[in-house]
Amino acid sequence: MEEAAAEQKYNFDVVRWFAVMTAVYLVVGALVGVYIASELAWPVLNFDSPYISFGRLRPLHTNAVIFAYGGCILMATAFYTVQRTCAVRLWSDKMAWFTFIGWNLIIVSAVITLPLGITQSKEYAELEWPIDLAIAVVWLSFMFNFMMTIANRKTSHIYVSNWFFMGMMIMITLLHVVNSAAIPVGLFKSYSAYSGVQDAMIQWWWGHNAVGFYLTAGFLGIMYYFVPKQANRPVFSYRLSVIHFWALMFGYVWLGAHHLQYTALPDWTGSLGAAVSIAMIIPSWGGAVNGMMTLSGAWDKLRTDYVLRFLIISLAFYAMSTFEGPIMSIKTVNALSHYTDWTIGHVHSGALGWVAMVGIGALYHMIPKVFHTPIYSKALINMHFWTATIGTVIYVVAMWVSGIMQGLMWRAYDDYGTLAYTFAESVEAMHPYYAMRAIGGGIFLLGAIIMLFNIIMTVLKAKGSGSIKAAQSAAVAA
Amino acid sequence: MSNDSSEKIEQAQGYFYTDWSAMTSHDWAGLLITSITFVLMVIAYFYVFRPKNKDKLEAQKFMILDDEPTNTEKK
Repeated sequence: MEEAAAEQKYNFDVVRWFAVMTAVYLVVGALVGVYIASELAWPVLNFDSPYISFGRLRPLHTNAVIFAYGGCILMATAFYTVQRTCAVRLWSDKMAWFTFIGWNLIIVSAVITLPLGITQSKEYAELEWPIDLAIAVVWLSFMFNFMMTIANRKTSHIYVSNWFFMGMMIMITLLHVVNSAAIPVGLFKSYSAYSGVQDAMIQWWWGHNAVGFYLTAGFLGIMYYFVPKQANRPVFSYRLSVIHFWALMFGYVWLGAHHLQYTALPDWTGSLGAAVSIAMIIPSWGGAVNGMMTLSGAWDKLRTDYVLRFLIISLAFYAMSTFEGPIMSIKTVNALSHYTDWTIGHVHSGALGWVAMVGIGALYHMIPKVFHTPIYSKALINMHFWTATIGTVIYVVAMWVSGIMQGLMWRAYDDYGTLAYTFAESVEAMHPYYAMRAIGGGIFLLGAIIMLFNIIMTVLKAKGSGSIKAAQSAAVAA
Repeated sequence: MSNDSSEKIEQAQGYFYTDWSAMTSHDWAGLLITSITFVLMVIAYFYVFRPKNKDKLEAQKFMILDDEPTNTEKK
């Protein structure tokens, strides 16, 4: 009866669709990632075709994992948690469906345009201006529906996860609109409204805040709901979560300049970006510790609860990458690390270890609840956990070694002051690590396929047993 | 005071020297936003960690364990 009541009270339909598409897009995004990683190790895989060259598939990979996988899990969890924490149905079912269909059409348009080479060439904002306009409209529909649901809430307090989601929505609206300002010269071509160093600064103001607000604040919203729910324990400190929120909101917007050390940007701007980056270790670690300490006194749950393992290890990766990032932003370290594979390793410790794992944990928690049926196989969740963890570690270690070696080779001089290595020699030295990276990514991809299989089987099981229809008809009868 | 230390003080003064007359409206806006943000963060910190507010804030962490949370803020 409890399931019937929830089915009647809340809109789980749109959540179910977003949840399933999340699993699909993780496989697609990781598959493209593994392919382009293999192209770097074995260039013959380009097949002399521009459509599948690294330059065109790389933005497809980043768009697929950030906006397709990341967007769908954010929308699934935001729509699910806002209903559960506010004890009220979504403000508009129709608008929620508009968001779902619109977001998926945007993803399809990215899959078509990026391999064709239609791009603005702005990192993480490659899509051309008509698609940018569509993103703004669909994103606003998502935000408006979420906020109106909160406005209609039956609870007196707005739970902290909703604060993180709202922070993300407001900031991403601002960032997307400002960064995407462009002058169209045709249906598929536009030029940035900014030029020179201003364009670079706006680009990285967006670029780092896409990480800070979309991939961090939004996913912290997921963490603050799903970690306590899965552990069945309240978050360690609610006060810490409040400070975590405000420090993140006020602090993150300053960091973008650290991507432009040793460029035409004024020197002080990079120093400011690095200084605030260091300061951000405090709220980031406060949040990570807050999430992990939620298990204080109940660590034994990790032995048996595979979903909780995903959520807790994601926090370990979150803590690690939010320490590594500020260190890399310091000019002395940046002189070695910038433009090397170390950056790729850092990004993937955050993307695979934090963003993917916390989303996967949330998905495994949510699927049985919205399909009203137990997960098809817990053993497969365990297998997924180990493939995801081992794959991530292999990937990240390969890029650390490769990146530091690259940096050292590029700066090595002989006694006469000439470069000790040619660029081609450094590329040759990278080969074993590029192969290792492709293998690590492949193992992670295997885990994503296992999850997709597990979820599809769960959905089929729910369909076969008629659990959703039973819950819906029980609700109608009640 | 030795020459070394007076040089260091001069260097520090030079580092923090600001030509206020050269401040543009963008500079003033930035300074204002930064200062207000800093003050708001200090206020938030003291509000959140004030012992008097502990019970009121920590009571909210239990709301998600209840599937039908309603009035969790005791006035």
